[in-house]
Amino acid sequence: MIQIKNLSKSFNNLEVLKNINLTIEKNTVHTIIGSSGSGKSTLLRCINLLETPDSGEIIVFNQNILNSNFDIDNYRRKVSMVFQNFNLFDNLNVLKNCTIALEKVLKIPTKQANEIAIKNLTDVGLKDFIYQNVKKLSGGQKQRVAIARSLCLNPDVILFDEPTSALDPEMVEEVLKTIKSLAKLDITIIIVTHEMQFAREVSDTVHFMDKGVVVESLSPEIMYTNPKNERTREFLKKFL
Amino acid sequence: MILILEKYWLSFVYGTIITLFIALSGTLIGLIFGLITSLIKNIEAEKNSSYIKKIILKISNFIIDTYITIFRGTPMMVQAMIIYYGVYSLGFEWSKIIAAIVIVSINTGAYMAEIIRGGLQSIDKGQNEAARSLGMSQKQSLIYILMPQAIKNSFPAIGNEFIVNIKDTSVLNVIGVIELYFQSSSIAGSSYKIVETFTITALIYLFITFTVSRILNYFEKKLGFIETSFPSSQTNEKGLVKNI
Repeated sequence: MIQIKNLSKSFNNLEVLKNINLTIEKNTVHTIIGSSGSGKSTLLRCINLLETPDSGEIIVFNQNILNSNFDIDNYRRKVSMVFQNFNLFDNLNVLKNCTIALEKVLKIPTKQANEIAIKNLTDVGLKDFIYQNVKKLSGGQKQRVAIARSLCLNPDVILFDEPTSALDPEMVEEVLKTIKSLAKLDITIIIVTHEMQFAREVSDTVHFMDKGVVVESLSPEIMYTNPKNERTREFLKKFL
Repeated sequence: MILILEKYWLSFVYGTIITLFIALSGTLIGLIFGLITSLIKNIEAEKNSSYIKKIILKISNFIIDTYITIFRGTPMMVQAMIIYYGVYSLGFEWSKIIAAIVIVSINTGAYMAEIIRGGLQSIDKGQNEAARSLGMSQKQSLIYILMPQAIKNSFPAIGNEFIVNIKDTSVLNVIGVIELYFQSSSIAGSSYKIVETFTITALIYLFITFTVSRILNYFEKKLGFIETSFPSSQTNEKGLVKNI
């Protein structure tokens, strides 16, 4: 359902993505691993058009999302993003964080929006916090609110950009558990992560990126036991 | 001093009310000007915007920049002369109070635009990205997410602008607005007691600004504009502070 063809992106002469080709099937879980600066996050941000690629094609739902007349706002509702730093709206409480897009973008009445939000917040275990100020939540709770916020829009794809990198070690588990529970739903998930064990457990395909190139894309069993490429082996040796 | 107060207290009260009225309405209208201009200035042409939209944005940005440059770069006293007599010479007879409010509003608007711009810049860009990633348009993100935070961040500066305006309305005596300074000059002129009169005037200004700044501080605290946030390790699962 997502096809990336010859995607390239540079930031002032620095080539971050070099001719990326990637295919992601519907309702699968893909993880992207690799060292910092390898272009993982940039690739993810390109899929959500938070970065505009320099060249190449990204085809989602049979449409090239890089076409100039493509309806970006409409597309982003179906492909939502969970950020490393949570990016909860500081001016709104937990419930409002989840309902604002429903009310303002989808024009759903407040009562109905609240119901959707409360259902999703319950699913991530935060029912008791709906009127809480988001600044008073712990990191793990914040990230779970962010996941619920994405789920409210009923997206086809969720992109996770290092969802546990800004968390205390003891809070990583609760967030990973939440993401794992999503993997059972009919959602396509792409995760950029440094949690190797988690990637192994949850994904259908693991992609290893290095210096702006997808070096290999393998099933987790093969990736973690017998990767072909020398660089992949070197990278994974540090974790396993 | 007491003699002056006894004889002229009504004039002082009248002047004070006019000063407060001009400063308050000028600040509020100026704030609205500032919000509108910074809203327009922050709408950027996007890749898929139409050609006409891009041109309109360019032109409006140029107008706003010019407005801010001119009104921040010239004294309000000079602006008052040009605006008041300028409109007058076009054949419109307008009340001095209205003129005063217009002048203070336009002048304040230029400062407010910069204050709000600073407030917007201080917001983490992740806030906008999150809003956009949920399908909000640039305008929706600005109105529902960024602007409320920008106003909150700049509340102390906005309050400060009000205090500055209370004092700066005194320059409007050049166009004959009967505010506190103008009243004081008349009183000083008829009583021949310049120092005493203006000491009273100074005390009135001081009293107002002191009171207003106390009220603003109270609101800042009350509305949670000054936040005491605790590190997550010191809050329990309900987000409340543990007994330390």
